[in-house]
Amino acid sequence: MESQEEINALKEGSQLAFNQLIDTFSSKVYNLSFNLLQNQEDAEDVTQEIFTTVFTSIHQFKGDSKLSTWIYRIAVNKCKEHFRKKSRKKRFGFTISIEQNDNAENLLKPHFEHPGIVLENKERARILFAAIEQLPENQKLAFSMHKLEGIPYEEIAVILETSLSSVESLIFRARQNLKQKLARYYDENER
Amino acid sequence: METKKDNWMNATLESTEGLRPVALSEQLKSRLKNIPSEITVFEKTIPLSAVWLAAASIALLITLNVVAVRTVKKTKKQQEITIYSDYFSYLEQDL
Repeated sequence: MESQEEINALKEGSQLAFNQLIDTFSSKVYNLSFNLLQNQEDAEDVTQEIFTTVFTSIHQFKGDSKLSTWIYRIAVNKCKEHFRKKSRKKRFGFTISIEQNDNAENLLKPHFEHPGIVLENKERARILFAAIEQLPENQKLAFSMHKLEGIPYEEIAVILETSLSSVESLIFRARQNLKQKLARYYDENER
Repeated sequence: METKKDNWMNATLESTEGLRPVALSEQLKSRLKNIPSEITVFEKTIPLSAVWLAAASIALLITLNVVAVRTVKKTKKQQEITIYSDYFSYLEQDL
């Protein structure tokens, strides 16, 4: 799906080429959205938005990067938009009660059960996903893309439009943050 | 004790090892494949002339509003000048 002919066909609005694009990338894009948003319905809606943007903006694709990288960049931007919408809602107090304070917000509330996790790891993975959810945006994106999707550092750098050293630093800080959060969770619940 | 905690933390950090990708529902896949036809239908249902007509109407509305505001301001200024001149001519009469 990376050949010039196929990209030209996409730019001409070919339904066949678009179907091939969906067959090739929909699973990767959906899984990325699902892992980042931790919600099936949100991931489905965002996946639809991503491919609508791909269809309407394909003429802007100049071939500077791989088509998959360009699609991943759109996916990451759509997920960022979703995070911001969600945090705006929170700020206006639709989803959190006024009794909650900063301390309560920092507590891990494992809620997301990923259907692709092996059975013996389910409980631990729930805690890890809750901790990932609380990471700062860019750390969350870089860590999830590498750890959950297996995207190499170099490609993450292109997707996030940053340097390789920044990606390394983001993932290192994400691990440190996660360790802190898990240590606190252990002290409060597992000890 | 700390080793137990460290082991737990490391095991939790590695708990996504062997993560299997989630399969897309056929319904979502068909929704995705319908995107081109939905966008084309939208483009077909709203003719370009209608879009231009709407844009022209908005532009006309804005222009009319600007003209109206300017006219009101001008009239107010003229009224103020008339009031002042009437007042001063009245004072001059008294003198």
